[in-house]
Amino acid sequence: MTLLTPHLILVALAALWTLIAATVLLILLSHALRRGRSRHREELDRRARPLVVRFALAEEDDPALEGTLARASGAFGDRVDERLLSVLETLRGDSRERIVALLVDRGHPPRLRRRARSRRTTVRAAALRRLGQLALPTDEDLIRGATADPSPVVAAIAIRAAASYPGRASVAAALERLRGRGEVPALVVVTSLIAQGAASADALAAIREGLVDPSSRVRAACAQTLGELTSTADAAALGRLLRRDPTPGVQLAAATALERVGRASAVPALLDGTRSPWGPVRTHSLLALLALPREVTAAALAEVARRPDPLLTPLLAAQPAPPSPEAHP
Amino acid sequence: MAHILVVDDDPDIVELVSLKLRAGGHEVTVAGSGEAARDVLASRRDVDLAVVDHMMPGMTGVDLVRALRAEGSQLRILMLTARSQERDLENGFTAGVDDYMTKPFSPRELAARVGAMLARR
Amino acid sequence: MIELLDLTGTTAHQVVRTVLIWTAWPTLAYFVAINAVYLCLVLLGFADTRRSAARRSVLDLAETATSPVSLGLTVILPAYNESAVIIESVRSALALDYPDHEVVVVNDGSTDPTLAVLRETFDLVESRRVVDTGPHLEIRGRVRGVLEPRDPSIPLVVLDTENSGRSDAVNAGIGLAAKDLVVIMDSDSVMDPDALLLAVQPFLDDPLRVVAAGGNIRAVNGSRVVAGRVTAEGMPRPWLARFQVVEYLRAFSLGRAGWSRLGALLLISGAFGVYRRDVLLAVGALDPDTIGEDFELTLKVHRWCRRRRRDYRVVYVSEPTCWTEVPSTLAVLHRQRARWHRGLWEVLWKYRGMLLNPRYGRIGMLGLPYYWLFELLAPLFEVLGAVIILAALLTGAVNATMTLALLGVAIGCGVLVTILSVLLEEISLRRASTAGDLLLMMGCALLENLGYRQLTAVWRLQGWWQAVRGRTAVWGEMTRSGFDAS
Repeated sequence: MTLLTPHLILVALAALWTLIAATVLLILLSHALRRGRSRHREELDRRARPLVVRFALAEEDDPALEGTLARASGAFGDRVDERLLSVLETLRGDSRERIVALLVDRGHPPRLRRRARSRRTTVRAAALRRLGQLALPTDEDLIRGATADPSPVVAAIAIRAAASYPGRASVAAALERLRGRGEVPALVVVTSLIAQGAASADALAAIREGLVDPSSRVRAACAQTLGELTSTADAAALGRLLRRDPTPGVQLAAATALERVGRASAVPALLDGTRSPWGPVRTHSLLALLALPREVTAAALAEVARRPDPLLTPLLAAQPAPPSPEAHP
Repeated sequence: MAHILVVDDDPDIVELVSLKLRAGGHEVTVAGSGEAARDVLASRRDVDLAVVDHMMPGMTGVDLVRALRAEGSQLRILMLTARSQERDLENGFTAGVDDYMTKPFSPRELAARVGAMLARR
Repeated sequence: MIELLDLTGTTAHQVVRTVLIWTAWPTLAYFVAINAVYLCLVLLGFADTRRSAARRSVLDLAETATSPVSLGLTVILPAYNESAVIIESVRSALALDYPDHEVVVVNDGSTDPTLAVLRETFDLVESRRVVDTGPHLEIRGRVRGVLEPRDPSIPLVVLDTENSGRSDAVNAGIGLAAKDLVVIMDSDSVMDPDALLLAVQPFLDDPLRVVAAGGNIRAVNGSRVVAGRVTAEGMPRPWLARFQVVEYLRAFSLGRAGWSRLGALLLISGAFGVYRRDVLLAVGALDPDTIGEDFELTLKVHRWCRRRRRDYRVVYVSEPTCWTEVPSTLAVLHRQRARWHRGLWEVLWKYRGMLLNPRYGRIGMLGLPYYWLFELLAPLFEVLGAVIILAALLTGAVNATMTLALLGVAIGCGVLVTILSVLLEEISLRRASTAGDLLLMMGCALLENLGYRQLTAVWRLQGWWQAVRGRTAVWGEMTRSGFDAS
């Protein structure tokens, strides 16, 4: 008790309230700064936007307009770039080529490539995002290399961008990020793989090979991807995965995939799946069974119905009643 | 020729669509949100068609369409969406959307669809 | 040494002085400790929110909506005498932005035309679906019927049961639900359009480990709501509501995020929680005899998972927001706070076996001690502190300047943490609050110490006292827990 001298208390009091006052000032200051910055940006945007849009929609060449935009520099130039990229994201058709040409003209790609090596994560991420939108062939290696970036945000953006360069290498790069600590959302990887698998047979082959990869996250992602690409050719492999894979997450991915690409041959595996100790695996195995034609699954469904499983009952009951035999004309 | 309302919180899309439609000779009014759109529709009776974006913060495009149809509005509505899943389109059509265009879109196609929708009645 | 006023040395005076000094130091230490812990949580929460905002910026929501692995979601709407608002709530739930969802409305034996209104509006017919809750969960209210719309494209099921209370009604709904995930909604809460898509993210990433996820809850008072959506945010006008806005900010946004980061999230609010249906069925879902049923459920889930040694996660997601109406009158707030603290005590006591039990890891060693010490006992110390200050000032037993200085330190800690929460929330979630609203919030951080906190502390103690004295919950016609007169 002798430690707490009045002096100490008063010092603590003063320090505390000074800190409070400082924090309040900090809040108001950062708020004002942010408002000021965004207002300035909006002002420049208001100038840049009509020019960019007119350029994008122009039916014929307008060299004066093109010149103005090509020469824009500084803060205004930045906003022109932003607007060009935003419009690029939104449009399809001939306008796209014109906009890409203008961006190349403005020295964009080299600037972006420089920024993609920046030490700051936000700068790298923004640069990669734009390079991904431009999808120039020369940037394939850069983008693929960026999938190994230490920052998960940058890596995720790179993985998404890599979908513009479908092939074995890009698939491998995307899957690589699922090994290890896996901070990249599996959803981003799967979406990229789906786009690649749809565009390249080579990529599809690589994805199929991923079903037996040592990493469970890779197996799960490949299973999900194949389910989305609707190739019943993979039903057998997916059934094997459901039955034999040691990781429940992979079993779940396989069961979910079989909802879309199941075949009669997968019924025994699915029936097994409805007995899994993991709830979601059971429900999705049953959903996959229910997605197949009734003639094929009648016996299996009857067996499932015999078992009292509160998780599965609502799924069975939610099905439309089977047509009665007398209803045939 | 016609009076079109463009509803989107993304100013780039608003500018793109407005300019394209104005070039086609139409009168264009813009609204940055579902609420603003309803205010416009409440004050102007001569709007022939609305181009509405699907994803907007607060009141989404589908919310807006649903609200308008519930009030009995017969306004022609074209929805711009980034999502093309069957379920989303179904929801939209059930809510009362007349036609869809997915993003990224072609401005020429947009103008053509708008023209067709206006001509249909 | 504390300077003493020159007083008459009566025995009573000596006694008072000794008592004051001996109680003042622990009380002050308590305040410093609780705010230090809050500070840690706030900072951790900030780190967590920053990281998840970064991830959010990468994930395109349109992508999630078209995700190949979407988990189905059942929205359970318990309803008791809601004929005036039920259609709007159901329409709102059906219109939620989610690729694969169904709505289960449970009519908890309403005495008004709630069921008739539903039947009429949706053209309901008999359904083949049944309520099956399995061996671990029992329903008390008898099921009177299961209905669904004649139009099979409307994903709605209406369950009609005898009146048995909200928790039991929800449990019946869970027994009827057919999707992987369950979210319980009340008809007076307003969800952001993308709230469910965001709240479900952790499940998509890790469908077998994540068992429950909670979202952010904010006060809707003062914001503009149009057709079931919040279109404009704003601070409410009544001061009572304003204080609560700041409270929610401190407790939810950063407090919960902090605990989630530590892997010790003990409470997922009933107002916005997404659970895996199989886990709910296994643990017995909501306990109809408990007042703090959401707290009880979360602890139950933790205990179940840890006993099975399953690798699991209970997470908080900071962006998706559910807006709920906070009490705007003293009477309703009083009831609410008393009820909350009573629920807290009941649940903590029920699960006292988990306290400081290493078998329950961080839940038992970090989370529960925190709740016992800094949530349960907090109002006691707050009231004690106020009493001490008053006694000291009135009797003049202790130097007035020192007393006020100590008071200033105690209050200052709280104000600092609250203001820091406001700052960090602004930064991490990039809220577009106006400067005026920010000033208001900071003003609240200061002014709440002039009576609001003391008042809520007293009410909480009342609730605790009621619980300890064993007053049981009111049975019979159960009204929903909410802000209506009951």
